[in-house]
Amino acid sequence: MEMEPSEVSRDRDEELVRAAQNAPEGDLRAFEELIHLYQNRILADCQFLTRDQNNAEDLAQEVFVKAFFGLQRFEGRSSFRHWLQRIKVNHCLNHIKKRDGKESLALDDESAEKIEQLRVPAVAAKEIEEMEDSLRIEGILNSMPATLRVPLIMCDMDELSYEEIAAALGIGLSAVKMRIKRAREQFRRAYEGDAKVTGQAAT
Amino acid sequence: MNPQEENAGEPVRLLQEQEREPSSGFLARVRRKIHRRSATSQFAAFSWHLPRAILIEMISVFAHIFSAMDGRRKDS
Repeated sequence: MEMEPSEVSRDRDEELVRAAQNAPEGDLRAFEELIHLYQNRILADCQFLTRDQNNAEDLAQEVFVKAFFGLQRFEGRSSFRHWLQRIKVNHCLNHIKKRDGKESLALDDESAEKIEQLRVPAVAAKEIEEMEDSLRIEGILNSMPATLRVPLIMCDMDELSYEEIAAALGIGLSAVKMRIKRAREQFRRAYEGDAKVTGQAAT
Repeated sequence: MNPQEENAGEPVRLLQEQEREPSSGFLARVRRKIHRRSATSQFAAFSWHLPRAILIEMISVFAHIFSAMDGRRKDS
């Protein structure tokens, strides 16, 4: 019986994690392999979560450094990928809180949504016209308010459970479900609307 | 179906495929940060253990001196 690709990658991760945990001090080969496997994904997540292209690489680096020093405490109760996503989410949320603290716009503040809706889309809509699919998605995510974007990314990119999202954001489970539903609707509308615009421009 | 996937239509699933290529020095910078932090923690541990080791040595030296003095007093 053939194994699913996700099972294969999980087995490979477990093997590499064990090798990294048992490696002598200074030997980073196994951990570097793990970095190599996840760096693209973690970088995209950091960029989309914080909407901070300049600091995304620094954030991703910090995530891997934290993961390295926490690796001995990783017991394998969840997958390495899931564990890494949780480190990344916590690190990015702390970064957002520190950055936005000065502007006193809390992540769970509904008024922030209205302000951001007024501020971002004009720029994003203009940029979207020239973007390829991946960049188009980035443009749409950037045009979304943090109150919807962050739960959407945590749910549909990081594959965290509603409970984990609620705990990380410090909001109720029903609020998480509602925000994800609204975020998906907004994302879908923006994506489909954008596809129509692109299609018309091409014809 | 996972309840979280119920409303995730086609464009939303595209989010799972999103990746960004880091700059060429990414891995080297992570490696450097790890080495730097390891060195710092080793130094911190050393600066805690060094005074402790000195104190233990001094106590054992004094203990030897006192036991030698005590021995001499008994001899005389």
